[in-house]
Amino acid sequence: MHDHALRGTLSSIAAEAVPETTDLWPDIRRRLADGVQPTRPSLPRRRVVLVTAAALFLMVGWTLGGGWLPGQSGSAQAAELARHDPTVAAALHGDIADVTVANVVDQVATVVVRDGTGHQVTVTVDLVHQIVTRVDTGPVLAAGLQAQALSVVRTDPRSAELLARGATIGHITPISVQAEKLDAATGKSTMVAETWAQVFIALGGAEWVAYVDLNGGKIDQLVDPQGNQVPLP
Amino acid sequence: MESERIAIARLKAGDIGGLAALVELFQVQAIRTAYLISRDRSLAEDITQAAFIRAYQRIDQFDADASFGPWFLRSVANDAIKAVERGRRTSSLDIEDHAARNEIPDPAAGPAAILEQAEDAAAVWEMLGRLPAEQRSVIVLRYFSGLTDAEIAQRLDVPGATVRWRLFAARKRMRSWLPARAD
Repeated sequence: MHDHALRGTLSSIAAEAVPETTDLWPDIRRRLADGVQPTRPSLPRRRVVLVTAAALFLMVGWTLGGGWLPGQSGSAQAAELARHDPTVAAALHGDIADVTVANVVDQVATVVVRDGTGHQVTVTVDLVHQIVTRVDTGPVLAAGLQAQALSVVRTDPRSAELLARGATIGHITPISVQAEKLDAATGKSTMVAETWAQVFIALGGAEWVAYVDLNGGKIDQLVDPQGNQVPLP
Repeated sequence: MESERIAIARLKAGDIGGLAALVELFQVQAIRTAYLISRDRSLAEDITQAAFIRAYQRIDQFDADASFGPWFLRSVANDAIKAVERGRRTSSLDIEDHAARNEIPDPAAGPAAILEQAEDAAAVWEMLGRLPAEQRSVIVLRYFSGLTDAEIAQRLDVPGATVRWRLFAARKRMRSWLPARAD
């Protein structure tokens, strides 16, 4: 038998049995949501180096890196736990419309759950014990900080461009960020908690999310509807 | 491939979107390879799904500078071989059943008829089914995936001499079913 004939025949057999349109992702995603997790969970961290006036290097790591949306270690579990928690259901005014895992830090997840009427709660999930430990209703970001977040969003060129195209600013919610401060001189680090603002920006039925570093006075990340970070121009 | 590297980086960072991208890139090739070896579409999908989940679980061990495709497809091919080995008894019965129905090429037929039969997908399918899984896998990797001996050896994690022997044995068997044709 000629090699090319065999090659062609095998390709035909395979193509007939397994068409190009085959998509395993829904099944894989479901299996992951059922609890399959990395054997060596590593919290995704992104590091930013800050230099203070005192020449102290601050190395900040948090879990808002590339994988801040569903899919971070434990995020699928967190989303499911938040979605099915009776306290969350009771705090909302209608059926759940959207569940977003904002971050996962040291096996503690922050999940934003919204209902169809626009109300939302911020849910804290303990992934070690697989329980919801806290449900915060309504915006808890102080008015002054909200104004600060709005100011940042209006001046950042990425979000300003969206606003110029007719985008509207929706919910503004607080988000806890775990930061690791590293003293370059001593090599010692300490973990500190910071509160940032999460600003939802809607345009044409799609939604962007800006993560505003309130201390730094800047948008740390602007994430597009596909979950990709929007780079600075 | 840049998209592959980006997907790996995303996955290593904990972004499951990276896995989705890898699935999109490699799922069809992986399922087809597993299918040709296992001869079972459903099993091939299971094998591929499990391989992707295993890759997700072990992504920390993966060298980001390496190519994901060969690493992943090696896992799929080996899993398919193992799956066939586990079900060998059933496969043998199937083969005997097909042979009993004379669905394989008839060695007594003339050369033209044999080639016509052999190049028919159903006949090739039947002949593949008669090969042991290890020989079938090298035929699939050589003629479907287009790999060299060395690449097959690396893919299956066996010595090159073993690959060459399996190819030789597989071709010999297939030739025995096509007596009038040489490779």
